[in-house]
Amino acid sequence: MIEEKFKSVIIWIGCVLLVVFCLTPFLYMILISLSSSPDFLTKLGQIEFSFKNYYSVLSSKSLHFIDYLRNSLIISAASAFFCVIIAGLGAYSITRLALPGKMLILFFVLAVSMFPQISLVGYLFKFMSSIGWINTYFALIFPYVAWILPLSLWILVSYFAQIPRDLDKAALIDGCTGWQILRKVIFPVAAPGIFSVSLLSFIFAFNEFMFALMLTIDYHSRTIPVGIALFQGLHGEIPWGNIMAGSAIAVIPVVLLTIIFQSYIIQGLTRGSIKG
Amino acid sequence: MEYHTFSELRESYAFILPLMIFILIFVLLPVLGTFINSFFRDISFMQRKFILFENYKQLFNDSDFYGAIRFTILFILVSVPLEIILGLIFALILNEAVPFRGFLRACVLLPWAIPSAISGRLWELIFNYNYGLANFLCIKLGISTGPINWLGSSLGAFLGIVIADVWKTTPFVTIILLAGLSSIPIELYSQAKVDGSNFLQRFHKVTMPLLKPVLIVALLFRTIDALRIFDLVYVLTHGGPGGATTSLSLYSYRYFLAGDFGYGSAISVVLFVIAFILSVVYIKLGRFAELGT
Amino acid sequence: MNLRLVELTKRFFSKHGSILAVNDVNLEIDSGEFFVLLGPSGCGKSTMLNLIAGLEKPTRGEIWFDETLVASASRRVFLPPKERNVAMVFQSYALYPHLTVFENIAFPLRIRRTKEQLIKESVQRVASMLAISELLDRKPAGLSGGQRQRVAIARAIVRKPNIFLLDEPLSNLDAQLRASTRGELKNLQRNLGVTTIYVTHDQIEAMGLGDRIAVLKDGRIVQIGTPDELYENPVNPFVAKFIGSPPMNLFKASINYDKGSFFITVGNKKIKLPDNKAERIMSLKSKDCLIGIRPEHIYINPSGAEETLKGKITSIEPLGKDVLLHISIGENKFTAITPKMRFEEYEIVNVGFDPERIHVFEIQD
Repeated sequence: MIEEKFKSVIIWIGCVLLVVFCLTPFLYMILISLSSSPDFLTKLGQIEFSFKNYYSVLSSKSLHFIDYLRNSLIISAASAFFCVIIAGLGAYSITRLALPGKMLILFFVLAVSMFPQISLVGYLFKFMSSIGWINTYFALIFPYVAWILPLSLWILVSYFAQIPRDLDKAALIDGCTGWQILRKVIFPVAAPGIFSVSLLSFIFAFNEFMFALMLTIDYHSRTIPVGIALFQGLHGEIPWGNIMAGSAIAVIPVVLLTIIFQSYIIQGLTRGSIKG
Repeated sequence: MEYHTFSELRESYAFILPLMIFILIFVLLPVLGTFINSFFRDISFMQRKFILFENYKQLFNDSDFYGAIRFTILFILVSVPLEIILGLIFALILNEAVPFRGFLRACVLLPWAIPSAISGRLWELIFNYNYGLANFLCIKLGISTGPINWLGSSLGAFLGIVIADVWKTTPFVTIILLAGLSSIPIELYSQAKVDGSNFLQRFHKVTMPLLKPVLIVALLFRTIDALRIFDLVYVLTHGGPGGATTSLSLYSYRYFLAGDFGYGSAISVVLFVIAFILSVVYIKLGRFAELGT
Repeated sequence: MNLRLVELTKRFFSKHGSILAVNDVNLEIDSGEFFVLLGPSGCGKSTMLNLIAGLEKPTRGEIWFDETLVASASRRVFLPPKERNVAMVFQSYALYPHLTVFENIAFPLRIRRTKEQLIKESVQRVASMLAISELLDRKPAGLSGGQRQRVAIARAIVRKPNIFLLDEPLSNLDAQLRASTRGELKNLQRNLGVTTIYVTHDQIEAMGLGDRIAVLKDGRIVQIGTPDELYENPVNPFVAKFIGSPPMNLFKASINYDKGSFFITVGNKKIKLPDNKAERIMSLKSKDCLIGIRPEHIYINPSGAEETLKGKITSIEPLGKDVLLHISIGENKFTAITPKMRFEEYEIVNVGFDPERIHVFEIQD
């Protein structure tokens, strides 16, 4: 009994610490973004609430905040879309292939996902420059899709492998072609997997930094992480209020997706890493 | 792509072609290009020249390169164990029948979900010398008498990056370990309880051995990821002060940025080789883990 | 529709070599017939079904639907399942889990771009035929095994197939449901009049359902016949063992000729074989052979003047009306079914064989 009591107290303390650990920086971000000056802690904690940071971030044309956000959303959505389709085709082929090469492909792709990004980015920069794609959406979407494909493939393989082969046969007999089987049977049946891959792909593309830093030049294609990383003040002093307001707005999409669909994200992450 | 018989479906490689093509063009080709480039003097606005191992020779006499290696390894050695330990504690907590389980899981996921460039900015502010949260707490809690020069000193900048990275990536470890924990059959614990073991004994005799494969996976995933660290150092310290927190990725990037693609490529090839060896180890161990379950 | 298989052969290749799953099968199935492919697992019966359905291509041989050649290896003819208009019911039912029962049944019609009104009518017609009209809005996950099986059948018959293929459709049902569904299935097939091929490893199902049965072993047809023919005249010990429950007793014996009659010796008694077996016996390669007698043709303590043997009861299994006895006579062990009486274990009983029901087979390796 004493052990049980002791244990539940420990767990309660652990829960509180966990929440404090995870959320304090967020709360700090929100507080700074809402206060008129970033140094409220030194002024005995007196906060002057105002939305002026949000207003200036959203209204200032020269900051291009809205452009960055739009670029990020479009690039991430497009990457997630292509990634799901291509990984879906691949996973279907791998789970249905009778040939011995499938494990080889899976482990090859896994090895690819371990490559450091920096060993790609130098060449990608030259390649994209040579075909004139620098500072376009394509310069990011294509590498993102390739970059996120390995994880997506692993996740989808684990979902597709659970779909019985009889379903493919039934669909063939019912008159489906290969494409129709995929579109009308496999994809809908594996919908939770498809959805969690879409979510993860979107989040990964949204958060990517190095490619975006190297392959974009200005607001025509620059994404929000780069925009915020390079956000410097005009007059020496860093405008923390504006940066935090921008950050708060920028993380809204991923934070919402994470909170609403956390179970799908957790499913995807665990299937992608622990069990193939 | 019209397939009719089940056999034909099973033999169709065509479905996997787009995937292979994408990875070929946008991952393998660039890696190959980087390898080739590392044998050239390739600087913007200068004649490209084949110099074989010159870049590498220069690299092995480059004290900044050794500095980058030292930082990267130190960073792995400090941050990864911290993340694993903290992640294990969080996972053990979340695996219990706690209230607000969904809320707690969402909390844990949030630091992982936001872009590290943005969390880098956030931590830059937290470590601000004059009015950052870190110094405010350190003084209030009596850890330090005066403000700590976090990002301005070598040790402070290193600790700052470790703290920010632990905050950001512990969730990932937690999620993976949680999945591992929840797959341990509850009967094993009941049996151990019947056998009269206490909480610590159960952890030691049941949890740890069964969690080992998953722990190895988490460990290696994190090691390889920490090896590639770029976003956080770029945003939080820019590699400073005085190059003290320059990681291999960042060091290589500097040369790319300066237009020296040959030397930058050589640095990233070294990083690639280390990562590749580690990933081979990972896949081998991963296979063992698979066989073990 | 009439179905003809000519020298049909299917060889599967793998990294370990190749397997002849179907080996030179010739078969003609009449229009409207209920035909059963019976055999142990791995005998190639499911592969044959897949070949007929068009899920696999034959390595050799031809498949004819009436006068249409649907598959031929040598003539490079192959019609995909879509164009054969066959329907199939799987052991796992293979219902689409994301679709409602209605949409599951409608699926083949939708793929064929049938008019919405017609789809509705057809689905409702087969649903009421199979008494699943109330389930149309549900998803497969919410159905019992028996209900799923009905949906699978409904999906198969909704498009009026040329040939109806069933791959062990009852083996996932519990014993009681299996028996009642068997009867319904037979009625349904009679009413639809569609040529049906039914794959099973269960001889009770095969006997109960089939107009004719083909017994398969290692990719070859061992015997084709009506249930009665297979029961009365099995061509070899394999069929003899496979058909009938409990299986036929088989034992080695040598045949002797004495005073114009053939005899075998069991225990220390000579048993005369009927004269009508003479032709069969003459065709044997050696006088050593396998003798078969079904448990139901062994009589315990017969009252007539038949020759009897002394046997010891080793165990007793009551079957309700009858009782199954395990009896040892000398070296040989037999099972016998006899009307219920008081028996004791280790009791010595008189055992009589019905000589007309004795089967004689060549010894096989």
